[in-house]
Amino acid sequence: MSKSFARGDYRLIMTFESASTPGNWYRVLQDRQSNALSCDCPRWLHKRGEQERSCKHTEVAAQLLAPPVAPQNGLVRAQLRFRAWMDQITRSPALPPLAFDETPTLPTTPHTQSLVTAARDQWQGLQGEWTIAERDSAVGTTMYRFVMLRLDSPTGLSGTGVVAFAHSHGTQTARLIPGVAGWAGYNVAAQIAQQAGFEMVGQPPEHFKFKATRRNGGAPRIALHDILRVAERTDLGDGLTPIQRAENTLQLFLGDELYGSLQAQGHLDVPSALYGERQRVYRLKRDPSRAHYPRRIRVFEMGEYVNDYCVVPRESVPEADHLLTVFLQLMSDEESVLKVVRQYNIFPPYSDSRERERAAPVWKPRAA
Amino acid sequence: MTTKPSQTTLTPEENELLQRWQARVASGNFSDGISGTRTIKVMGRAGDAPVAIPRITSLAALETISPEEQFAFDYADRLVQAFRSRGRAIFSAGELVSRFDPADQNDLLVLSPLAGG
Repeated sequence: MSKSFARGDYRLIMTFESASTPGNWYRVLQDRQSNALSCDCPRWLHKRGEQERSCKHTEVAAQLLAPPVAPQNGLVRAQLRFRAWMDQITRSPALPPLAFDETPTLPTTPHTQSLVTAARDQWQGLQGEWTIAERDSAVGTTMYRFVMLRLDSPTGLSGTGVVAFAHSHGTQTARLIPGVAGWAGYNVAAQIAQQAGFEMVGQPPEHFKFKATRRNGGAPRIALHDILRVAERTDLGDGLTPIQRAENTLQLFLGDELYGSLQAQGHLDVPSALYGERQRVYRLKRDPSRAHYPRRIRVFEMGEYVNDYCVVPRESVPEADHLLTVFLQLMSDEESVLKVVRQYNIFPPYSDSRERERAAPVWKPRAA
Repeated sequence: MTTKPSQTTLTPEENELLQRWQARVASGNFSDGISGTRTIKVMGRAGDAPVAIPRITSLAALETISPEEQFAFDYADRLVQAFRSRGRAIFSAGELVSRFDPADQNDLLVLSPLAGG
């Protein structure tokens, strides 16, 4: 199997924005075994067969890896490293810097605060002090805005990410946010994860921009925040696990009395509004271990246990969330739950468990 | 307020507005006309991911609040529409809702989607 970044065979050193195409990124990676540097840019990729492949991006990154630094504390070392490195990579010292703030410091301006806030939000599980430094410098004839992002955690771990934006595409705050939070933030997270003993922190951002064509309907894919993925991150920085969050929500929406009854009895009974003439009651049972969501809704009619309906979550959610979903939907829109019940998922009683039903169903008339 | 039911990803400019709104939530510093926040909880792998949205004193105040607070309403509207269009039920104050109401004072809960097993 060939090596890949996604599998952890490479370490991300820094990221350069393409000078010709905004939103296209060249990653400079280092092979964890051989320490060789590689790049996504066409110049590096086309140098096949050469023993020592390089490009201007790998040359800059090589200097980042071994600049002279004095033995100081972590932050000062980062400051010295960034400054020394920036001095070394500037090929045209006659060019005056367009903006100058090269010492990683706490964000003090709206611009740096926005960048740091974006990174902190993107990587909510990371705790500690975020600092940032910027410098405009040329590499060859191309001017870049270099941004260094650093996190020092309370536990002594630290991570640094560097991303270079092409000046030709603009250096407005809003334009820098996705790259800083996405690329530099990813690098910070990856380093801290590795120091903590975890090899990977998930997939890095997309490094090329999907060109809008007729085939894909012209839909752009670059985006840092996706509304539909708002609930996919499990670590929200609140100290809770997904199971705990879901349990809290279940208790909040059921109320103390009903939640207490659920805890005591191990089930909730929901009288049907649509089949009142049959005195239908839906029983939602709870897994005592809370590890598995129940796949069956037990159906009672006229006091008799008559069927199991197999209703499951379509996406991965904690058990308490599934229980609450079925309960609330049966209470407020019974038809929407019954819509997923077909001939193939109606089962006889006790289809998934031999545990006998001892408690009589609780029937109360409800308005449809 | 514009709504974009098919647009679930944010542009860089919208990202910045979202960051600025989250900074306001963290600091508790709101415009006149915003009395605090309420929450949209979205069921998912996170359990229930909370999304803070402004609690407005009156619809007339929509014209006077900051761009990031206005965007927070737009974001909430797009969130509700996005999940509704994907068959997710939205629950608020004891009943299902089909659209986002900025004047509503209650929390919302985006339920998980169900399927036949």
